[in-house]
Amino acid sequence: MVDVVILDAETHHDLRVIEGSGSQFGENIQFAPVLATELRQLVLEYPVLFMKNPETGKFGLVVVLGAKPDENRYLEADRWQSSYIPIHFRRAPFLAVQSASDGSGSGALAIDLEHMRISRDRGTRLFDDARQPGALLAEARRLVSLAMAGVRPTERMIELFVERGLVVPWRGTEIDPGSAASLLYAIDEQALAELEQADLGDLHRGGFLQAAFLVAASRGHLSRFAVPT
Amino acid sequence: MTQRVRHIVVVGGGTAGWLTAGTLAAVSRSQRAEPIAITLVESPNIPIIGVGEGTWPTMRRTLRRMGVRETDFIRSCNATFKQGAKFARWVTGDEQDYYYHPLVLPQGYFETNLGLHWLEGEKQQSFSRSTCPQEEICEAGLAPKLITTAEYDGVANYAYHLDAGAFAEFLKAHCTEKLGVRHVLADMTGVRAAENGDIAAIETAQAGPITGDLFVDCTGFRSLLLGGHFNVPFRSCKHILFIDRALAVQVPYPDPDTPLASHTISTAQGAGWIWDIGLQSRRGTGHVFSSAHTDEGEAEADLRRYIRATGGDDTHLSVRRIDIEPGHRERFWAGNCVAIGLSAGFLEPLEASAILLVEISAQFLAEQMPATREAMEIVADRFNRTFAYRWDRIIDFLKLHYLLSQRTDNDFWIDNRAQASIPDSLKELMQLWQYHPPSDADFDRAVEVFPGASYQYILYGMGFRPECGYDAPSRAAAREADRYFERNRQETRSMVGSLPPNRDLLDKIARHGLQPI
Repeated sequence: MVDVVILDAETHHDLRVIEGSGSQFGENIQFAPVLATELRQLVLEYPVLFMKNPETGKFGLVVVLGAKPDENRYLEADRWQSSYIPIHFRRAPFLAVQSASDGSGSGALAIDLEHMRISRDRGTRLFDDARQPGALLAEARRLVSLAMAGVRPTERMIELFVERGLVVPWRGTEIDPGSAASLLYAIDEQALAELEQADLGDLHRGGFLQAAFLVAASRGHLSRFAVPT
Repeated sequence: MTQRVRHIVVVGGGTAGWLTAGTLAAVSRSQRAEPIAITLVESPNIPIIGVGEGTWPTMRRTLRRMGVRETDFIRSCNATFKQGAKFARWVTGDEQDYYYHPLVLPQGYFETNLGLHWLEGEKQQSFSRSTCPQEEICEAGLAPKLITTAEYDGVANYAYHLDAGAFAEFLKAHCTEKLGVRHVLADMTGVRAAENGDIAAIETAQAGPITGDLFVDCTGFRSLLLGGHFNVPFRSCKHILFIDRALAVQVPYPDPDTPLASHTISTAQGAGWIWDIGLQSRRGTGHVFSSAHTDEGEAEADLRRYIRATGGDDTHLSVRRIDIEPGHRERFWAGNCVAIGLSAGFLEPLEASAILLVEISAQFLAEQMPATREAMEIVADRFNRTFAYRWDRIIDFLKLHYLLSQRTDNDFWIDNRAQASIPDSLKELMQLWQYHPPSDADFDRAVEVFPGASYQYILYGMGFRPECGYDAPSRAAAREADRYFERNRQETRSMVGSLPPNRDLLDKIARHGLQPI
């Protein structure tokens, strides 16, 4: 269940957020959504693929965390083993909602009241007694704006890749994606190598050419999931 | 002197004109260093017929080849998915009487012939239900694909229903903006003949004479170039197919969420049948009938009754009448002119063969484009032979639907079964099918308009049974067939369990679009 509301000092003055990591916070997932703006850090440790949203058919960018559904090999008990943790995990339970009138404006900070991190008796308080935001909220605000700022570039990047024929269905065997199998896509390295001058220029201008190579190369990390046969 | 084909003039801007121009331009641009110039001349004063709303799955290839995004097409043309046709009341006329002609081939179509095995024992459900999943998909009102399925890919094979007027506008924009087709708005006033009788130019009121090496006649029923200038005679087939009138009407949905059928519904009437095609924002329906067997008032009353019975409001509808002379030209290519679309001929809307013929004519022309005027004689001869054959097969296939009816409520049906009205070629096939089920091997050409499977769906759907039965299959063959029947049950369950309602998918496409991959 998800119950997203805009954060409000009056209504939510007594809310607390439990910090830390682990499966108790829903972090045991095989795929997590990530942003083009995180690619530089992500590709050092994670395989990055494209995944279709089953509800809209639209492509998103994901990292692969496990060899099978409900598995996160980067997480050992309550500790991440990787040096970079995707914003998706760090911002929880906060997110941004667009003000209803115009989709372009800056988003309001919102919170998912059903999230496993939310509590009224444990964890870090969001507001002090004077109902002023604390340090945790300041960090949340920073992460959510980072996430917001990454949405459009990620969409634009994938659109460009799809338009130029760089995206193909993923046909690997390193992981068992369960029901997500038909939703996974990867960079077509052959097509990337054969791009025409004009397309190279277009991709390069947006800074997306390097991103394409980073995503393609990150696929090598999938080998860490392969079960020796 | 060698006269090379460098400039093609398409005369007429309806569905046929733009599909032809787009196909020729796309193929030529992808294959030639120097593409052939294409000009389309369209009258600003003559409206297009714009009634043809049903297609075949070939349309997916046609649009893809032209470089059209399926999302754009679906959004712009009010288009919906079509997974075949449901024929209601064609056999006995009863309320429960229906069968499907789906677009998916029977299971194991290239390995075995389930027609034989179905007759041997699977008859507790219809042939199409036993051999392919599509009848159940359609009956459940489901789409042929998912929002995650790429453009032009399908979970189940599909074609489209579309708004013909919007389609012509959509193709016009695509052809002129993306494919370099020159568009001239002008009324044709005459033909300037060359010494050898060819068309040297067409004369126009607004743009003067327009010269070309090859002219494509897409002028609709008027057939101004092939029929007019070249005087190629018309061959009527009204003695075989009796339909000669159509009453067409657009019916709004009672509300925007009304479920949307993903098949054409064809309901037999006393002296004809009613088509019912669900587009996104309205239905297109119409009654085609034989004026020798009923009158227009009666036919319109039948149509209004049908509209009310299917949840429509018939009070504010404007009914449009179209006269049909079923038949086609004796030849389709004469001199330096080829006719594509209604100018070549028209039979009746059953089985949506009109737009299909446009596509395969344009494809033939694009792929076998004569390089010179001299080569044109050879290509024209081949074109004429191929399409004479195709028209004959379509006539046979349409007649089959009437031949197998058992209705006796109007002479229309009885006359349709009179031996004199049945082409010899069809009589021969019916004889043949007394001894073995239809298969692709029964037909001459590598590329047939309708595959053997289509004949199976119609024959067994309409209750045809060989008089003395087919030879019994071996046990091994019977076991193989059982595996296909079982596979079909599994596939049907899995598809019906995973496909979304047709309306839901179209709403999602309107919001999110489909991905090209």
